[in-house]
Amino acid sequence: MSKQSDLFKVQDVSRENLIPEVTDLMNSGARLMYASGVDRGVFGFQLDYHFCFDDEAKSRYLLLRALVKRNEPTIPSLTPITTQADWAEREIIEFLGVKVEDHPDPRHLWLPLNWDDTHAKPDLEQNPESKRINTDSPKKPPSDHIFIQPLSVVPYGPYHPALIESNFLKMSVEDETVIDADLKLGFNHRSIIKLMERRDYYKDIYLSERICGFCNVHHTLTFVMAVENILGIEIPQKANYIRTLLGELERMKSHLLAIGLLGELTGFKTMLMHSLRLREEILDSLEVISGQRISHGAMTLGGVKIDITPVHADFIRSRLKSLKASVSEFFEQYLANDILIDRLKNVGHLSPADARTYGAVGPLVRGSGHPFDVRKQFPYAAYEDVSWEVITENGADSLARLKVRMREFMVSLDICEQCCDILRSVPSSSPIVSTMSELPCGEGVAKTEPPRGELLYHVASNGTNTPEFVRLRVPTFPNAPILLRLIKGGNIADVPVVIGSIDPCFSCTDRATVVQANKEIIIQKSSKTNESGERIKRGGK
Amino acid sequence: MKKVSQMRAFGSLLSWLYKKPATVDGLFGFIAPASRGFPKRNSDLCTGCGACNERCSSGATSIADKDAIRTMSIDTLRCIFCARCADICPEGALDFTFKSEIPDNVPDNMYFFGITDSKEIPEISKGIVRHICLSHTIDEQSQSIETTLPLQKCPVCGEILPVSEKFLEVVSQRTLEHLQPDAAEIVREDMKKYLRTCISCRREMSKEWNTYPRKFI
Amino acid sequence: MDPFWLNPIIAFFCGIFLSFFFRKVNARIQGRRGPLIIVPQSLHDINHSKVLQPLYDILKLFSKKTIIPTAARSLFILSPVFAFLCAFTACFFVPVAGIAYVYPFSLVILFYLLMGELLFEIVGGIASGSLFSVIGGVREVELLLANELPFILGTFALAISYNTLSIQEMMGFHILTNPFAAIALFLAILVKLHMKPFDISEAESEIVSGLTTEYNGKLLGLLDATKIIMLFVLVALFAGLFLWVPATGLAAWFIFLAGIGATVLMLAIVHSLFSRFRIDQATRWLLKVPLALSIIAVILAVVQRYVL
Repeated sequence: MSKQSDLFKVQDVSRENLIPEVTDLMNSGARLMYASGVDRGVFGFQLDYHFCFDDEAKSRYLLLRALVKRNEPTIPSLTPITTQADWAEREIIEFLGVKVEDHPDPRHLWLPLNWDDTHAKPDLEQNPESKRINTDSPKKPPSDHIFIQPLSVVPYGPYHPALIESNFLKMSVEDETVIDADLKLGFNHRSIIKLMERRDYYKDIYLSERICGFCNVHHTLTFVMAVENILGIEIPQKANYIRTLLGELERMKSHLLAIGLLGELTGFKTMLMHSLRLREEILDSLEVISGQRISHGAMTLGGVKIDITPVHADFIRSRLKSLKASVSEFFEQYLANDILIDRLKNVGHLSPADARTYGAVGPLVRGSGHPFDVRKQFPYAAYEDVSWEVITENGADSLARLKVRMREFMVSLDICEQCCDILRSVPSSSPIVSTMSELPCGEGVAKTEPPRGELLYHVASNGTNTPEFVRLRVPTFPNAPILLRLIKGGNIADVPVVIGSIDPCFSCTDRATVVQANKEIIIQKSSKTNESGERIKRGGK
Repeated sequence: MKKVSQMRAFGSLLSWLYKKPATVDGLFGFIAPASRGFPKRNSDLCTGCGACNERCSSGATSIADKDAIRTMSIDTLRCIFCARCADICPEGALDFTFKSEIPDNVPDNMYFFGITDSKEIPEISKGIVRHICLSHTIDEQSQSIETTLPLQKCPVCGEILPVSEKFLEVVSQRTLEHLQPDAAEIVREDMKKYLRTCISCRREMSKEWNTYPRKFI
Repeated sequence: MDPFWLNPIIAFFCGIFLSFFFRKVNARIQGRRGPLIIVPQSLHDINHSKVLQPLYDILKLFSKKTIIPTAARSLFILSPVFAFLCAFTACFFVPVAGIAYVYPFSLVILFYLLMGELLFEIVGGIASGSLFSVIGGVREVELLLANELPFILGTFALAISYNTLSIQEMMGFHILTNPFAAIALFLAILVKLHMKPFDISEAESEIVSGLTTEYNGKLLGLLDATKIIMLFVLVALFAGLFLWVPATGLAAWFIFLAGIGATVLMLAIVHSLFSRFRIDQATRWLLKVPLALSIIAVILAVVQRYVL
């Protein structure tokens, strides 16, 4: 079994060589998964560009590492080469104060848009007793290009029925047609990455579990896998099967809710209610295993904490059997509704070429016909030992994504049944946790496939009991900019449909780090923001 | 043909009109046996070493030293029932269980608990119900599981040390267990003198007590 | 003289029971329990029965403070009142167990009152200054234009066959004699009551709640009361025109209640079995299917009256 750590390669790159290197990589079919920045103290800022190669059978993993000086923190922007770098670079600007040169849209992604205005107050630093949060109205209007004059702006959020989590989607509309859209994140920001750096590895597992309620098994699994890659230990085979089973149960749970929510967003509440009824069977199974319905606390370094006995396996098996019949009936009812199908068809069309260019992940890219799945390309847990197929659909619209979810649900059901059969035959005395030695210095990367797409964890250890840094990229991070592209030019009634078909998880995306308010950089940034705001304004007219 | 299957799908949806609703009767469904229950500390075993406080990932445990008394407590409203404190406890003093509250006559299967009406709740297991609907009882104060232990006083100067008497007792016991009898005799004598003394007193009295490093080989 | 002046009171309380029945059927199709008729013993501190839940909702709203947005104009406050008055007046003209204000042109008056109610709702929503209300208003106007033709043609089919414009004179079990008119009118009622395939103007996931986004407190309570009366008026109109067997006394009431019950059951089933149209799809569909049905109904009525 080839491990993920064998495919991982770090390559240093100088500041000057970055652009040609990345251009070569992109031409050879690479995908920029994420760009993260780490403050390495006197060494400067370390910028990691994570690449993967989707076309290769066993996907390679390349990490380009550039080190920029602390007194001159500039790096050329990759956004002109590939739009996949757009949000990641905005994040670097925001969190580290690194100046990314020639970025077309260096506005705030997480902080309020009038942050510069409110927080560049001179007395704030002199008088520490002054108000930490400035409630005064901003002196100048937020530098926000979305307010194009003759058009009206429809705000979705921060609290809106179409968005389960709070974020702010602004759309300028003309006669119910969306002309331009912008997304503002940062409403659920909890600094989880920074918290992880100051707690020990075992506490981090529980912390990563709380990043997302839907994919908590995958978050813990990915973190644990990244640390295990540093350790270089083998996991007991039974633990691998338990991990696979938990992950697939979670996928089923999440997909069922996503399917139901898409019904609710198109006004078909009956489908949401029935999907919740079916989901209860999966939640019961998970509760029987772990004692909890949502966050299970099942993963631990070197294996799993919770054993699945033959009794448990039988129980899950019986639940899945009843689920199989009722779910196929539910899907039939769903697709029999012509009005619903008309709402989904040809809405949010993402062509296969665009899906590659923008770097879509998860059901979004599989709905456009690409068989990209981390479980096949980058096998982890026991996915190599069970038989299953990657699901693709060629419709490239919301309906195709819905069908991908439905078919993936059935595949997950199949994988779960296989895992249950194997776990029933495994002797109950076989180990579920492997013994560990001391944690060496090093870096580990792990990728998994949560229900929404590809999840990436990058953990570095410095030999102590706390990680040096943890960086993570959630599946919604590359998918959310695509959401903005998909809703542009469409009807305002289709916006909830597109949101539902992508199934974004903004609480996941709003994990994240520390804010360094460097005054100089802020002033530079604000002047740039104005320019870009002007530019796009002209483009709008 | 497509119309027929569509009509069948609508019919199967409509059949819910006379089916039993899917919602669970009463307030709860069932409690899985894997449900870990509530943390319970055996006060006889607890030494106040603080290992649980070190391991707790949700900050539910706390140690408070006041007036020569150490209070070990677990806030059950903050507890996420991960049971890692129970795993790490060197004395095995912590346990996660409902067991002491469950009556004997409850059948030992998956669904030992299917409440349809409040009348049907067994009298003894009402305690469990109150514990489970923690979120419903806002008026109730957060329950904490507390153990109090006296702290060690320095026999020379009377300063209060940040360790409990019981912990030192257990430490000396464990140390002596693994030593040869003749070496154990010397160590026991030494421990009597300096184990319960504070650092400054130990330094001052070191000459008088003659506690230079020994080699036990 | 018939006690037609009791009609609004009957309409309000009957409407509450119909609304409860609607919620219950909807919930049962969704696999839920819905508002309970008999609440279990353990929850008696809340209430003993939830049959009057729609009434409690309105009473709750009336006990709340009303916040009026600064951008709102005076029509924001006046429109719900006028809409309520329109619905209130419409009750006199719709036959409740055969009892209504006797007037030879009651059908025409009813058309204007029903349209007036919707128009005042639109005016009030747009006067609130909310963007969602404006979008909802535009959608509502589009629906109104597309819907009014099948609604009027469907009822006029009966008017042609009886050669009268008084609702009381054209009542009968016409679902057998002119089923096309019945279907056209049923679809039109769905649109007028914002039921599921046509709840475009208050689509929750798209435009929060459309026209009523900025309404709260007593004004929203008034609008909810209007909605309940409208439910009764339209359902009673449908039951009177298509599901009515001439009778008097207790039998008349029985037939009437059975008729409105059956109509609400059908409405609830359609409401829970379909998802929402987009506005362009809805107008296209409304100008295709119900219009065709209503024209067939008119032709059928003409043939029945003049040829046979």
